[in-house]
Amino acid sequence: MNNKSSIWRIILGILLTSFYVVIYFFPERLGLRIETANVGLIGLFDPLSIWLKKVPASQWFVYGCLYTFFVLIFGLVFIVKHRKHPYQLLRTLSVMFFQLSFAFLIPEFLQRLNYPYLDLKNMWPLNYYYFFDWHLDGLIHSGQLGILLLSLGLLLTFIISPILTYKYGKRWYCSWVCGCGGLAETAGDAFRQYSNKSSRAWKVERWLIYPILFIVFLMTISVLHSYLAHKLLFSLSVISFLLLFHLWISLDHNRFVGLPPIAKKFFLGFSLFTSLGLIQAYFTQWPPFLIDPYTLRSAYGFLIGSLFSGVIGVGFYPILGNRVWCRFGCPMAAILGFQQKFLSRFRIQSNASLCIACGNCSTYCEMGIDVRAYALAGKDIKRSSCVGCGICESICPRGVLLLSTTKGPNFQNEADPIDYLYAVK
Amino acid sequence: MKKIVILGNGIAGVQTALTIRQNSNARILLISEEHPVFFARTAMMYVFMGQLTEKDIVPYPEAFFKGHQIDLLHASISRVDVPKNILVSSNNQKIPYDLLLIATGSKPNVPDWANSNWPGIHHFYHWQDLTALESSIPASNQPVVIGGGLIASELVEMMQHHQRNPKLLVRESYFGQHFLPQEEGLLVHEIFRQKRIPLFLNTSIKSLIPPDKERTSHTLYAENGQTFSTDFIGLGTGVLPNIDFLRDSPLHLGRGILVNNQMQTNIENIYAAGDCAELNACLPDRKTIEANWYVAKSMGEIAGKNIAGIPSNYYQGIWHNTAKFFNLEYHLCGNVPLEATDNFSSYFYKNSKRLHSLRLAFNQSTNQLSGVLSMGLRIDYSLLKNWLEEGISIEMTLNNLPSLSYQNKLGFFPSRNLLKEVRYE
Ligand SMILES: Cc1cc2nc3c(=O)[nH]c(=O)nc-3n(C[C@H](O)[C@H](O)[C@H](O)COP(=O)(O)OP(=O)(O)OC[C@H]3O[C@@H](n4cnc5c(N)ncnc54)[C@H](O)[C@@H]3O)c2cc1C
Ligand code: SF4
Ligand code: SF4
Repeated sequence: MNNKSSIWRIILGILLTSFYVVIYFFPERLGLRIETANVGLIGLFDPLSIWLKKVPASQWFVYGCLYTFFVLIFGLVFIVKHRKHPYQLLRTLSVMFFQLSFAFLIPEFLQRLNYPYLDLKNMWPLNYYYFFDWHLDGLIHSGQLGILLLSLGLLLTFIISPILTYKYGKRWYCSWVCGCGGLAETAGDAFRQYSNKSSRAWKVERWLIYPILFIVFLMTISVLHSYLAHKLLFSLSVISFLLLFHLWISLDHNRFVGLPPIAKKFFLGFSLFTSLGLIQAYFTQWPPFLIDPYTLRSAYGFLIGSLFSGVIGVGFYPILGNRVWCRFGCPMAAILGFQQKFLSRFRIQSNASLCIACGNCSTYCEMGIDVRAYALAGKDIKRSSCVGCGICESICPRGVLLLSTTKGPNFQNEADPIDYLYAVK
Repeated sequence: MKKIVILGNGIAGVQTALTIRQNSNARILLISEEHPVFFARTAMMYVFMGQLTEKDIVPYPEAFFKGHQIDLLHASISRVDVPKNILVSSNNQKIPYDLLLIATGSKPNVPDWANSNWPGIHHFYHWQDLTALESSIPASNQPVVIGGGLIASELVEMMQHHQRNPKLLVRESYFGQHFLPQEEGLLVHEIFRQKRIPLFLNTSIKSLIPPDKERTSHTLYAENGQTFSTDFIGLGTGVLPNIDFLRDSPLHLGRGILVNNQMQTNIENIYAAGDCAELNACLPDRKTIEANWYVAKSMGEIAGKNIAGIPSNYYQGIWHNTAKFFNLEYHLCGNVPLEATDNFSSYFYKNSKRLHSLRLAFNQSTNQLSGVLSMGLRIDYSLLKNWLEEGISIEMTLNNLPSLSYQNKLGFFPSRNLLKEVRYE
């Protein structure tokens, strides 16, 4: 039975991946036509597109429709399955709402009214092009509404998001609002148990997600550097930000006890690299980091934006679990995760004296967290990757786990949970 | 260096091994005849129903034991040679020890009218029972499950999951009469009704005619005159300490292996813990054998400390237990009498439609809270244990009712005015 299901998963994985490859890179196969009217699958969506925004459908419009459709349909399935748990019910209604309105209808209407297409909840750096010249220009040149939207986006990224994460953990975004999370939680729900729980997978996760965050950061700096007029002011602000941040994580011992030394070194190396790149750009005529910002951003757009978050991110649901992208790639998750681990009140309480070691929590944790290891040892769970989906809490047959925002103890170490919890004295 | 041998790799044995390892680097050998590596017995049902796989219910991978220098041996022990400090296995292998912990757990209790060797008679305790069940479901017709406790309920759920339409035969006048007050028992009946499980109460089996050449099925005769014909009998009729192989040893045995509160037997270098151990003294309202996961785990911890040379005493403390009947959770903390007594009364809330109940039992002469029993509502055991230890009054409990809830704020928890003082009926 097991073999049969893994064959099915592989077949489904290949189908999904191929669909993504076609829609991203060969849209004409789906019927996209430039000169003449669309045919095939894309042609089918023309009437809807023309009705909504007066232009024929593009592959992205089709993708948006299908995406929203799946979130809504599987959202209903999920709600029926978890109807006994009010948290699951509300959270799912919330992702369905945000997908339908913010991600789909509002941007389409904005376009109809000749404003730039903008998914307001899609913050930088998940929305890696937020600070690209065409995007900023598009908003700035769209009159008052454009400026309003631009400021809202900045407010959301830099003020509202940290506050909400402090209060509720990263779940407010990852499993209540985000579109990627929305699809993962609904259409991807059937695959959550396939996320890898080994400590090796956890290591891979950390070695992917933080470097990707830093690449987004570099790319954004490089693009903004070429866009902004006050280059020196900009460079100095970036360098001082990095310096202040570095001082903070090295001096605030209490808060950052759980930050492994390697992470600090990594950040130091990154800061030096960035600062040198900016200094170099000031004194020479070459761009920061010696790479043309346009090359950098199209490489990122292709490798991370399309291949990783799209093709692998959803195509591999049946193979690596439904949060492949959120777990291994998303730079937004990296930032929110850092905030969650070190600055937030969010944690999962566990009551050791009730756990029967059944393993339902670990198995169904889509982020591959070995929840049981903590629960059995009676430790609260504070992991940067936890998206607060609450499934571990709902599925636990003994009421051991509780998503909580009351003030708890500082957490110690990022090592393998089992080895850490049973460290040999 | 001392060689410590642990017989039995259930939770008691494994908890002992881990505790020893945390406090000493003595050599440890962990022996079991059942599964090569420790698994959660409590979760076998989920494997049967396909919700978890075998891998999922193994909390610590084999490599973990190796990494902590805990050797594993898959062998069946038939005798302990106490004077020579040797274990003898069924294939005559001799295993010497300096210190021995016996944690051989339980074995199913077989009623005198039944015989385990007859085909179609199933227990549900050991890993092998699961395999036997798995191979017999396709053929089983009109299965009958006998018993009024958790294992019987799990067997019924497993059969129902595979659409086998099981009947449940209960000797008492309601399900769970030996651990639930009647009102709560009726709530379990309600869930059986919803799941379409035919429940036969007051049905005590007095004899059984096994299949012979002419007939393929068993016939069960109940004292109330009913007969049942079936080819599958699931026995959930309790467990007994698994100590038969010790009968001719100098160890003092009662129903289990008699131990003092350091988990030490009458032989200085032999300890016992878990389901097979019987305390030689216990608190007035408690039992000398409390065969459950939590007790086994904490006994293991105490045994481990003593073996590692850290004197510690096992203290029964405040009783708690959890279970789940289909999707109805059961939570008990403290002392909640099952029937009316002169001393006790309780505040009670019940909603049969939502499958919720909450009972706060208190001592009428002192007005102190004595225990809480809830169905379908999660309670904060840590807080409750503190309250019970401090001897909180029933008024204080009622005034602080909301803090007793250990569930999401969005979830329902009864407010004070929903609880009515009742005498048990
Ligand atoms: C289906 C089921 C559900 C349960 N659910 C719950 C629950 O929800 N909550 C709860 O508190 N409790 C529950 N229990 C009870 C709980 O599992 C036991 O109390 C607990 O596992 C006892 O642990 P132990 O270590 O003492 O013994 P065991 O887990 O029985 O381990 C003893 C081990 O020793 C091995 N062994 C025995 N004799 C020999 C020998 N001669 N040679 C070699 N090896 C030997 C056995 O094979 C076994 O592996 C459940 C039990 C079952 C069967
Ligand atoms: S730990 Fe629990 S809440 Fe967090 S991601 Fe895993 S299952 Fe969801
Ligand atoms: S689901 Fe609950 S009981 Fe099972 S291992 Fe996780 S915390 Fe323990």
